[in-house]
Amino acid sequence: MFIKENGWKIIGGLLVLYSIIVGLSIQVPQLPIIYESIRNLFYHVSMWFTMTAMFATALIFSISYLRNPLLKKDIAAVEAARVGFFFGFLGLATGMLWANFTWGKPWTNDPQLNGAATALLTYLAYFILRSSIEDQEKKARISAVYNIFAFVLMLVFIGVLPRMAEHSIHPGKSGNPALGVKGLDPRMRLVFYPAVVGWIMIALWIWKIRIRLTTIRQKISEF
Amino acid sequence: MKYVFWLIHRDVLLELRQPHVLSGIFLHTLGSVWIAYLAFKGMVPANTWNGLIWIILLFSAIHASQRAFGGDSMGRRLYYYTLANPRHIILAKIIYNTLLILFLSIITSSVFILFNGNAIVLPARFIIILLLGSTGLGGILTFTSAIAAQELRNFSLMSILSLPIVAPLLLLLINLSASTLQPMNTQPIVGMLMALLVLDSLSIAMAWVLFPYLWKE
Repeated sequence: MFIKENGWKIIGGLLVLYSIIVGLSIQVPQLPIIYESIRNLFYHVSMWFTMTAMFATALIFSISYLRNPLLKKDIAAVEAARVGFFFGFLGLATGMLWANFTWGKPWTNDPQLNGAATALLTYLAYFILRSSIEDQEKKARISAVYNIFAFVLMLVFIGVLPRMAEHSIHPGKSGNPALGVKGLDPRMRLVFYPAVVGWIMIALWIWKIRIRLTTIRQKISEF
Repeated sequence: MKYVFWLIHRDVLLELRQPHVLSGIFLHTLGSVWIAYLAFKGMVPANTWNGLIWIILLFSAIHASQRAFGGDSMGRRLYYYTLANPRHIILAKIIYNTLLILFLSIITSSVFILFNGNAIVLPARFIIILLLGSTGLGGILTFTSAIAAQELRNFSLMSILSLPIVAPLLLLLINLSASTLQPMNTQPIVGMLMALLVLDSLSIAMAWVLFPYLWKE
């Protein structure tokens, strides 16, 4: 029973552990300027994938809340947004570290960076909107509406604009908003994909724990 | 459609009944242009000119849209709720706000040009960009105003909510309008115009779909 219910958590943990150990020890292609720092790709890019997955989860629960307003859906949506924000912040931090080594400064004017910063700002606005409404039902409804509105417009921003930018200093660009996976070394793929899957599993785990925590807190406050 | 026109009509009537509110918005915009002139002493490089005018236009648009829903009292909102379809209401508000923002931005641009000099080489294109930009701003800002109006405790909520969502639109507008500043340009205008149209129609479509959920109390 334990394995059946918790197996995916163990797999997630093992995948992340694998990506850390193998990611730091395998041979990587020696590219000019980047050199060994290419290993950050395993950790930096998987943060963004995890953030996107969690924000998409939040969107799904927001839509589902509007169709059928149940409090637990609202909790699921906001906790997914919180976990997504946390991973987005980590993505920003690892990216700035990396940029400082390869591009010479932590922040450069690049469509990817602008998109990421806007996404994080939007979710900060979402949290502030939630905290400024007292009524539970109203808070859930209005923040779900804002989440959907903001996410769809953001999708245009992140999905369309970088494709039109003439140049981006992110590698593998010219058309691809995410990552030039085609140009990725096959050995690195063996680490990169498990890292993405592992981190998403870990994020889902954190999300489930946070949902339980918030539900308990709500029950206590109702006493 | 008849209801939408009726609702726009009553928005215009209400506005004309309180001329001081409208003149307050115009004065606020004129004041920002004047401050910009003082800060730069009238010598604005073309790039800065472009950024400056759009920032002023954005903030006056936010200022103008703030009253789209915040201006109506609770009782009046309840009265409309019993009378009209929410989708008609949001459509009417968006159209009215777009016209207001367009009017405001034409006046602001004229005064801005008067003080800071004219950097535009292709005026027709600039006016088209103003038109499309006002539509997008009208759509996004009217909807965020509707969200912010639900909660009266936080006055800065409107700008907090709208700034991150408006950022992509503003970036597009600034890039597009930069192309009107030089006669020879190689920028991909058509693609950006298409993206602007997509953003405009998407913001209005989303407002159309989501507004009924905000309206029911």
